[in-house]
Amino acid sequence: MDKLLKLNFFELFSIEPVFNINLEQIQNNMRELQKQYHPDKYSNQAIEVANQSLILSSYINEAYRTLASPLLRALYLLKLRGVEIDLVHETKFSHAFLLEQIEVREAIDDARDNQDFDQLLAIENELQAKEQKLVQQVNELFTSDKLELIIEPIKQLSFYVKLQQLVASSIAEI
Amino acid sequence: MALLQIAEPEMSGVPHQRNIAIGIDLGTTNSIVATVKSGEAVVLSDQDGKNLIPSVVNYGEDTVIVGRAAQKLRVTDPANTIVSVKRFMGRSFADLDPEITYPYKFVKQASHIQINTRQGIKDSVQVSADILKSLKALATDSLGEEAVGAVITVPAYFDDAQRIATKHAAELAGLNVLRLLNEPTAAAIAYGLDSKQEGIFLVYDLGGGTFDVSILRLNKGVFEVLAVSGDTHLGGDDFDHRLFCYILQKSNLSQLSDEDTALLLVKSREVKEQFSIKEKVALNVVLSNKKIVNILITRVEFEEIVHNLVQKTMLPVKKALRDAKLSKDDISEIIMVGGSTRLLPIRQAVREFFAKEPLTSINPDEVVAIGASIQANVLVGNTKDDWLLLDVTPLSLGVETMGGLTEKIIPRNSPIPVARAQEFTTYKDGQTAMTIHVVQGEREMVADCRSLARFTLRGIPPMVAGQPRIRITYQIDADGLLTVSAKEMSTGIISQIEVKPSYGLSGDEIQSMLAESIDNADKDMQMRFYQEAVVDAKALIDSIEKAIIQDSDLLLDGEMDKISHVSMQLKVKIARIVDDYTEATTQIKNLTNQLNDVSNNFASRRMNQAISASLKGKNVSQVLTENE
Repeated sequence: MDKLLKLNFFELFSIEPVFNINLEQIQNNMRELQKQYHPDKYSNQAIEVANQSLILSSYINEAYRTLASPLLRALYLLKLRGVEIDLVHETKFSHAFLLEQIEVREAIDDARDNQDFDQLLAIENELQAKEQKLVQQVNELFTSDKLELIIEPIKQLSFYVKLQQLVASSIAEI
Repeated sequence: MALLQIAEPEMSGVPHQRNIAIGIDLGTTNSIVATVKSGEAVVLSDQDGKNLIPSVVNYGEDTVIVGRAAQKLRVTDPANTIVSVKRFMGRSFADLDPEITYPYKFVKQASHIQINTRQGIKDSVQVSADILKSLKALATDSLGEEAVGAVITVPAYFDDAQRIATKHAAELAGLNVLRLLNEPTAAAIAYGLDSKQEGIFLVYDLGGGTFDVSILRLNKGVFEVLAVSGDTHLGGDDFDHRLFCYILQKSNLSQLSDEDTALLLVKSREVKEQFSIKEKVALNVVLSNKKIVNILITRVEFEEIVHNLVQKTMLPVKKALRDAKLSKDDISEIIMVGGSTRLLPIRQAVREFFAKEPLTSINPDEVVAIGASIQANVLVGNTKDDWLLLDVTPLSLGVETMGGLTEKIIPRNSPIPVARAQEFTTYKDGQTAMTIHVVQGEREMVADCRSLARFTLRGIPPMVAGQPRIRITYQIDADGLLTVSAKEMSTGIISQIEVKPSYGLSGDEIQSMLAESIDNADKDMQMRFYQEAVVDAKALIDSIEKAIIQDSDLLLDGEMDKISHVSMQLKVKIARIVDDYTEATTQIKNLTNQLNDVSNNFASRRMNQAISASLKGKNVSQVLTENE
């Protein structure tokens, strides 16, 4: 189990380190890995072995989460290629983009204050459509290996992901 | 000495030893225990042949009564008869719904809910442990031997505090907890593995006190929980309460005594249950002041009274679908769990929403315990069935940041086990400590979430502000329980911390409660054996000391040293404070025997001398009489 913890997420899931992945395949790989290493398979064993399976099983879940999310997958892939993006300190955006962000945030707040579940779902659908376009763009840039152009769409992508998280927590709150 | 016989590995013809494992549904209203017998899950029944054990505990003068007998005392002795204790698990007095009146004497300043009963203060963990003890006894009686382990179910929406309280109760009842399992997941296991049908299941679980919705996918032997939603303050009890209020209003009643309140609540439940088969129900009750309540309620009236409650259950259903990124058409089956899903308005609402008939073939009261027993059977290694359960955490985990805001570390519906790390740094030059506050919940403000733990990390090496790198790791295990650890990374100095939950009982408290609950008779017996050994030892030391004073001339060279050496060891042992009476008894007996051995020859010589002295000038009969 120690050996598997040293593998990167793509290696762990036995897939090529590329952006365009087959989601169904990584879902199946995740299930197969968990079938072998989930703590339930080690509940009768020594505490050290059980603890190791807990760590590895958590690592498999983390790998799945990263690979399944386009934003996290893009960042992880860039990191493997030696490119680190500091999303927290990247704050240069066009005026129009920032204005749109503010508008969406206000719409989410309003829908939450009105306990309007359907409105929140509608906002989420719009955000997903925009995310999808950016993912397509990122995919093309990875394929054509134009990494110098990739930072801008990834930055924008991160904002749409954040807004969707805001929708999710608003839905959980109402 | 007999040698152990070991068969050749290939030859072991003896069938694999079967370990008995049980599944327990510790419900708000009723509890059930099940096991897998020759490949089939069965619900165990008590001596009266009943499967459902009411989760009710009565504390009498010197009795603890659980189940139906306790249920009967609910009306005559409400203050000492604890019902729906599950609602109090992992909760403080401040968490209680002020609209509900309870007949108990709560200890108001306690950090977790405590009730003053005839047998002293009992907290929710102890009351639940009493229910679990009785279920454990039922299983042992029914199966003829003790189970090696148990899977206990909890509502999917239980937070860390409620899960820990449940685990503590099970440990206090002397159960080996294999796993805490979410109730809807257990139900899906019971149905899914029964039909061997792959697909997506939605579990609609309306119990006595809680409402849970879970969506699971069964695919190639892996049960994957996709989303969990629910309402921890919604259940069958609320339907009883609505009906109770309606009865009060319709009969112009107010200011009931505790006994009458309890009586009418029991009657409200009976009325509610009858609506599953009747169009109208007549209620006829005599109150303690001889006042008679005599009303007729129709099913239409009932449906109106509970309409809001029924509709309230649909929002968590929609939320769960959204979290799982599914539409209602993606759901292959709807599984109904919990006694309250027998209510016709509930079934109707579910049928209308999904345009599909919900599954009810397994008894909705028993399905959770059945699923738990199947999981327990797998966890103790009784079956080669190769299936696995992947569950999620129902609530987001976060930490407090500047301004009392929550920063989410592990969002809800993350698959477990899960570990996530976060790095922090210092705010001031030379800062050597920082406080971290871990919370659970979905709200933005820390004050609106549940506080799980607050701990201070000390021993950070003094450095310029912003230089230390403190890495905090949050680990949620397969039971859904959290541990937190911290490391200072930049200098390699590791300061590992352990989080103590800011609620419930500590491990030590459980240990001491466990020790107390061990049969006192057993301890008394050990104590008595010990005291007997001490009395024997003291008598021997006494007699030898007297003999030495009288007849020191009879001692041989070195004999005195040997005797006083052993005698001193024995005196020290007697004077020592004892924590293990059985062990101390053995040691004292051994030393007493040694002292007997080393002083034996000396004693014989004295005896001979005494005999020859006494025989001088006397006849045999005189000697015999004197020695009597």
